[in-house]
Amino acid sequence: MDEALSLAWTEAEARSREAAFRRLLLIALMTEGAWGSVAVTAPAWIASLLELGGAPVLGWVRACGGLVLLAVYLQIPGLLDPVNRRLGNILGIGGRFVLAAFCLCLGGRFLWLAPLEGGLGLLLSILYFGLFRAVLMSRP
Amino acid sequence: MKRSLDLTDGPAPPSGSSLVLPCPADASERAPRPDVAPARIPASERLVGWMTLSLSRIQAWHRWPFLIAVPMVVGHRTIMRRLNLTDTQTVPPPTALPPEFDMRGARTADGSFNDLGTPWMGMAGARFGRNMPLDRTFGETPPTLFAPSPRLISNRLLARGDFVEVPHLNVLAAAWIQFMIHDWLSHESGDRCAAPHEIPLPQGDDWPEGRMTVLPTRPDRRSAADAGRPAAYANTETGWWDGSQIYGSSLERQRAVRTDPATGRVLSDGKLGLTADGLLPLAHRTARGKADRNLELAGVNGNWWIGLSVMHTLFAREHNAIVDHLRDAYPDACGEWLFQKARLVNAALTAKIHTVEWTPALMNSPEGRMVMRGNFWGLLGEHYARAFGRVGTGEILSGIPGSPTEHHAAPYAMTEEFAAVYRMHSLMPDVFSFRHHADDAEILRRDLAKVAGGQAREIHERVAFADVVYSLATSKPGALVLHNYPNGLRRLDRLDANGVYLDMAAVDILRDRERGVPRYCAFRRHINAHVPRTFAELTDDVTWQKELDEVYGGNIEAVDLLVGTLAESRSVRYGTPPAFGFSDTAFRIFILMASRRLKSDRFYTEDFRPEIYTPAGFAWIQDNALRSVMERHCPALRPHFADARNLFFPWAKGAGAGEARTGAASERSSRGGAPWTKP
Repeated sequence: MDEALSLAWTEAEARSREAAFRRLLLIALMTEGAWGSVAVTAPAWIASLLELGGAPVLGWVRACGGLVLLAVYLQIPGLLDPVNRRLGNILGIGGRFVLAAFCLCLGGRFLWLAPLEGGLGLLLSILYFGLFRAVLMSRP
Repeated sequence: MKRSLDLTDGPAPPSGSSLVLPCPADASERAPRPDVAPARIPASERLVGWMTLSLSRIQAWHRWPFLIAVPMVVGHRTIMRRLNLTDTQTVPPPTALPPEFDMRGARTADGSFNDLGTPWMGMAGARFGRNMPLDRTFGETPPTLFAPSPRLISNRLLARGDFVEVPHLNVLAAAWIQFMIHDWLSHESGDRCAAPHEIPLPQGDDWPEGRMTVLPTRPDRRSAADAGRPAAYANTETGWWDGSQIYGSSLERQRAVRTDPATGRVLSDGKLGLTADGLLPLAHRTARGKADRNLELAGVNGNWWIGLSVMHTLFAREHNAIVDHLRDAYPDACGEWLFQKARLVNAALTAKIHTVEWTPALMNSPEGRMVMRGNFWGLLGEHYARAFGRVGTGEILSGIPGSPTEHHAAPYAMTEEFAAVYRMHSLMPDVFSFRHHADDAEILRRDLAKVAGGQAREIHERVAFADVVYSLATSKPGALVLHNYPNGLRRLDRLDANGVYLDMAAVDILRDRERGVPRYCAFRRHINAHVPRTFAELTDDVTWQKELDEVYGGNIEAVDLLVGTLAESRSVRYGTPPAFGFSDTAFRIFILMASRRLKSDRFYTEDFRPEIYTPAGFAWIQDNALRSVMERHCPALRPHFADARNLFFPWAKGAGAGEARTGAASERSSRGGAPWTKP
């Protein structure tokens, strides 16, 4: 029998794609969470890294770090159950593209962040779409 | 415990013998309407329609990536809802509501009062509608009616040579579609008062009688309002998805299937009549009175064969299981109430199975599966729908069931074109092998003619029901391609007159022409699909191109609809989409009509809710699928279908089925690469 007709095979296929997506999302969220934590706890270091100037911006950096942490937190349900908690993942992937575009517009040291976030968004979207198709094709 | 009649608090099972009428006001509030005004199409759908038309000029929908292909299917449906629904009814058939019948909470036997404002809509005896403009549906007359001869087409283009099977389907899929068609439609018997069609026989034809005659289809009675209009034909069944193949399309037939074969009395507990061993009672004649010894009883039992017998038996048992379930939930309910609610639930379950199981089995691609699951649960999916219910009233996010009723451009009716694209006789194998499920050892081998009519029952007498199901589920149906029409149907011994033969392939061609179904190119033109200009554009198969050229005298416009849909199975650019079991032409009609069967039916839209179905009944629809139906009624077969993703896919054969595959599956999946990936 064709493997694609087998429930066990298609479910295993979906599980393997789910695992791949969750691995990458976990790495992404840990990285972003680390950045957010550093921005909250050591805003001066982040400001100097991104060449943002002196003390007046530290509050903004801390606020951005808080927002990043919030975004990471909101994606945790999608990390735990990516098949049924789709909204957080879709918004998260879309948000990374928006952030990448925003960084491109800002220029300067932010240009380093743009490909990082854009690439992450692209990889996540490819894996998530693959997972979506695999789950769809594991249904009757 | 006495229950209240509060509709927000679930059903109120009446304790009397007849149904209570909770809603006469609803019917009177809605004024009868002579016609259905075209719906206002939302701007978003218009945009999708425009985008679809533009993109389909570049290439067919199925050649675009998933994220474009799926909206294009929605776009095609939007366009067709506006352009491809034509009303033919000039004088509505009379309706009569049985006394004290709860038309709001139950389906009438004849399908009337589904639309409370237009009660005749979709009822038995109403006319077939059209998917074509009315002025393009005049039936063909001689000589074009016979040009080229349907028998020549049968011999040269349709006759089965080597059996071409569909590797990813089983014969239950073939049985299922006929089971469904019998629910939706049937034409009247041939007109014995009219001069028969005499189909010209090609030179050297070995047709036994030397001439081939076929009775014309009997047209519906014409009135003055029909002047200048093409002939229209009546649908003898209810057009709704209401299980009328199980329950019949008249009160008389309904009483017959509810009769206990042991006592001859109508069952008072709301169940359908079955024999002690769970088989259908014997009718010995069709619903139209044609005698056939040992023919089983069902709402519709014409064109009977073992596959239909299996489906009817399963869903008669399912009805009785639903009755038991409802009685447990509502112990005070009377038998009549239980019957009506069980019918609602059983019909909705078949609609669900057809939408999210049978159709995706035949459209085995991510796009096909997404479209059909989207029709039922919307983009948000089954999980969301079950957890949170609907979001808004649109069909896109939450699917059609539970959305507002809408008939679009014409009153609801099955259409001649729908009947035409559902000519799928090639699905039938010529030979059936019946085997033990335990060891796959053959018990019986019969050709198609010997599993038809009353002979189906003889098989049940020799082969256990579970083994019959197993045998069909492990056999492959024929592919919908040229040269694959079962030869058993090309020389069919008419049951009512021994020695009189029928070539169903020739009749299929003749019927489309006679009933004014446009030929293939004209048909495609009217559904905004690419129209082939040459035989090379119709099919990539060079041999077929040559044969078609010869039979149709080089005239591509003359190709019949059936022939065209079978030929396009080998056209990569414009033909059958990848992994689909039927043509793109048929698919266009399906997406229109499959949605319409749900969207027009009050019981799948406004009244698809626990207050009408009962909470227990509504949950039954949500919780069940063909798999659970099979587990309930054929538990011994569970190991054979345990690993089948879709029960219309071939089941595992023999002993030890369903064990070895799981390990192999995990191993293979780790290698990656999904086999359904678009080439």
